Amino acid sequence: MEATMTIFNRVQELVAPLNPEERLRLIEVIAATPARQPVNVAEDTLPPRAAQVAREQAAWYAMPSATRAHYHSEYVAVYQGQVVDHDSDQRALYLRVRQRFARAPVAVLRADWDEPPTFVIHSPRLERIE
Amino acid sequence: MSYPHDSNYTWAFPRLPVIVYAVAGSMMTESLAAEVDTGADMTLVPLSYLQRIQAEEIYTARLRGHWGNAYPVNVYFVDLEVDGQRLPGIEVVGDPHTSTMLLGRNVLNRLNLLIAGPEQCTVLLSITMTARLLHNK
Repeated sequence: MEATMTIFNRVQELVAPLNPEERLRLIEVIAATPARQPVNVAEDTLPPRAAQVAREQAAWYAMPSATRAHYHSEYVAVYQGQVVDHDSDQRALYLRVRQRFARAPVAVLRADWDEPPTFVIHSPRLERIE
Repeated sequence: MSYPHDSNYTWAFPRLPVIVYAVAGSMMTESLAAEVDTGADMTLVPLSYLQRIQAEEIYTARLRGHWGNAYPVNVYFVDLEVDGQRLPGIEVVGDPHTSTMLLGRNVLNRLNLLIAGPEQCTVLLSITMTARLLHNK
C-alpha cells in the first residue's frame, strides 16, 4: 500500500504540467499496459535441470506468436531453443521425447499459452492460535 | 470402497489413496493419503516423492494462494492411480514445503466422487453407480 501511494504521488507530480489531452493519452497508455508480466523465475533459485527446462520454456515464449500459433491446440517439446516435436496427446509426446532425448531437459508445454500459467489454491486453512 | 476423512483438521478433510508413477519406467510411490481439495487448480505432490521416482520437470509455473501471494513452482509429468483407477499423463506441482499430497481439480474433474460429510468418508463411484445417481435409474 505504501508503494502504491508513492507511485500515485509521483504520477501526480509528473502529470501536473500536462494538458487534458496529454493526460488522457497517458491514461490510455497505462490502461494498455499488461497487468502482469510473464513469470520470470530466477534461474539461480532452481535446481540445475529445472533451470534448464525454464530456459527452454523461455525460448518458446520468445518465439513469434505466428510461429507458436502453428501448434494451436497441441503440446510442444522444446529443446535447445527449438521445437523438436509436437502432438495433441501430451503423454505420447512425452514418451517419444524420453525415447529420443533420454533425461535431457526438454520442456513440454501447452502451445496455446501465451505465458507460463498461474495456478491458484483457493483453500486457506484454519489454524488454532496457540 | 469408502475412505475415512482426515480428522486432524478443524473440520475433517476428505482424502483418497493415491499412488504416483513415473511415466517412463517402473518406479512408483507407496500409497499416499491425498487430501481432496476442490479449491486447488492443480494437484500438489511433495517434492521428495517425485524425486524418489525420478519424475521429471516439464515446465515452470506460478502458484498463487487465495490472498494473492505467488511462488514459482516446477510442474512434473506423472501417472496416478486413485483408489485403483489409473489416470495416465497428469501434470502435478512439486511441493518442497509439505509432506501432504493435495488432489486438485485437474484430477478431481476426472473422477466421480461422493463426499459423505456426515459419515466422514469419501467414495470413488463407478460409472454405473454415477449414472444411476444422476439419472435416477
